Amino acid sequence: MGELIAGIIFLLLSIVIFIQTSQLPESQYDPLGPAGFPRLIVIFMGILAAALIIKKVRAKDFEKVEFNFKKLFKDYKLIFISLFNFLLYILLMRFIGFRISTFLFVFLTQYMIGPEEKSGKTYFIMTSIALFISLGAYYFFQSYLSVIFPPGIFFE
Amino acid sequence: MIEMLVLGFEEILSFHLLFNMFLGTLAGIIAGAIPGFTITMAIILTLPFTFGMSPNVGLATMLGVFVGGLSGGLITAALIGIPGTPSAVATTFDAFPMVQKGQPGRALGIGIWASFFGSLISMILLITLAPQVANLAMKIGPWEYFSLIVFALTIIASITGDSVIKGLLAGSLGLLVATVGLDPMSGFTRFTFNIRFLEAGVPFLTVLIGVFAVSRLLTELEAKDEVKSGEELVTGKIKFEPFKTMKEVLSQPVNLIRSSLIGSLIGAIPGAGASISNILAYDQAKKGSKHPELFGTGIADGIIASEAGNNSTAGGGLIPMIALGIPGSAVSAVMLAALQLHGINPGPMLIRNNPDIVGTIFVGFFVATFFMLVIQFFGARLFLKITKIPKYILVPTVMALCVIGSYLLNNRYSDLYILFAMGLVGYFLKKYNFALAPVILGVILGPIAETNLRRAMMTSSDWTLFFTRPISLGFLVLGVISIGYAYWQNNKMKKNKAES
Repeated sequence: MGELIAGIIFLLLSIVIFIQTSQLPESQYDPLGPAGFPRLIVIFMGILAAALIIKKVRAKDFEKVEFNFKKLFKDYKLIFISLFNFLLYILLMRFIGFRISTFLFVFLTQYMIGPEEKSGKTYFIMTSIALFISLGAYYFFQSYLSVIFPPGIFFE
Repeated sequence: MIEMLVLGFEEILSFHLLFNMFLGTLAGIIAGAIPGFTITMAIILTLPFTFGMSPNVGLATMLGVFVGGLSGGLITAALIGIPGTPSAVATTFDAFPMVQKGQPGRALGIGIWASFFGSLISMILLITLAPQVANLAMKIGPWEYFSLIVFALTIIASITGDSVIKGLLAGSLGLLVATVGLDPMSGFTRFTFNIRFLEAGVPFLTVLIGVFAVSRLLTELEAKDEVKSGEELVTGKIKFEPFKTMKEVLSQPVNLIRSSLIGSLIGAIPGAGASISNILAYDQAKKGSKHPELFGTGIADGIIASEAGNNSTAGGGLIPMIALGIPGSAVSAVMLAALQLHGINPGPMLIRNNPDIVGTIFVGFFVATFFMLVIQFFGARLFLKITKIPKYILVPTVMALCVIGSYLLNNRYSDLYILFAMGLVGYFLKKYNFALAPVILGVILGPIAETNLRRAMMTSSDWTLFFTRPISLGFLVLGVISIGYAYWQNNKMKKNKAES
């Protein structure tokens, strides 16, 4: 079922991109132009997507797909948590800076996906690792490689 | 030739040089192991350090970084299933399953020995055949390049896992992603949908890290109960047996030599590199094997092919540099720059004018390979400890490292959005059983294919040239054979499965 949806998405993608290529210019010096190669790709992609859709429809094995969101959330809880944290981490970095956002991400995600009962030792390890990654990376790459991570509004 | 080697030995046998080369190899291994760091970046960073050194010492150090870096990708590829460098993508196919089966020591051991022997074989080729191979590589024009890339792309058909259609779809997605952004030949931006940061294009390393690393990490979290109970990445006792794994690698001479030849040849062609050769070598090993259905389950053959294939590009890559003074890759370009900074003029006359430099390269490469072996083996027991880290600690930490690695590339904040998006795409593709490697192949090879196709058409609108130029025709024929064979092998495997 998922593969059928994937096939449909690929087909839609190839149609959208093909339409986009019509807005690209042609050139007399460059017979293919900027549109040529992408067109070849999406034509190929469209044919494959259609083949996949046909194959899946013919196989007729649609299991009764119940979108039980509750069960979905429960099974994939850790993934949802990590992805959500990851997104927040990336979005907030430019505001609160690399060091704080990295520390928060590493520490909080460990806390949320780790064992329920944590000993003092566990907290110590989680904090040390979060500190090491956030501060260590920041200062190492800044001093030796002149990479400037976003400092954040508190430090600018 | 002998005099050159003797000169090389004289230069190498100095404590100062050997010490710097050792440090370089160590740095290369570490850089190679960190996803996103890349060997090229490591070599570029070594350049300023070499200003104060004599040209021989500087070159030898860079060689160490190069050789070390090519084998460093093995560590993360095997232990956490994330290729540290693009040259280790095919290594993940079998090294990680082997680690998951509870044999991380064996996976590392096989990979290290395969890297070592691959390096040695390419070195022999370098010393004996440099001028001849270089001349061959010079006959390559845009038609040959395009056909070579077409051949490389046909490999997608054989690394597609259970479905050729899905594998080709994944590959075409990669090709498409690579077209986003500024088109260098016409100056027009493509498919940015008015999102400003996409105008710079989608960096392939960000795609690699997102599609491979992030999706891999998320998959680890699917075993909810294991993560919550604090389980480690690999449970059970870890055995590390250097001699046993050496014998295992040497017991597959055909695989080893073929993979090393492929790597050396690809390395010798300017522009193509270890990112392609490891997958090509893996593909050929699978095609030539009596048990192709076992590839991907964690067998030694796959690791040997990929690691010998990627390390041998080092020797091959030095061939155009030494014979013709032309850089075969970004790495040799930096080495050439280092030579120029020291007042040495690289070019076809390098062998004649500076035999000591060339001798240093030959012998230095040999010594770097040994250093790599030693460091890897002593370090292996330390690296193996990574598998004992609980998943709930490892996953967020590596995710943060992925962010760092992506940011390091271009110091560009928007790359992180691309990383997140690619991570999601990779996870969904994985969930619905699409092979991921074709996406990477598409992203790497797409731009090269397009540039050369357009260049060829601009030079002459006669498209029959693709078929009349002998080398180009050769690659296209290989491509057709490759697809045909892949199909036949796939059908045979399906039949065998049905029968048993």
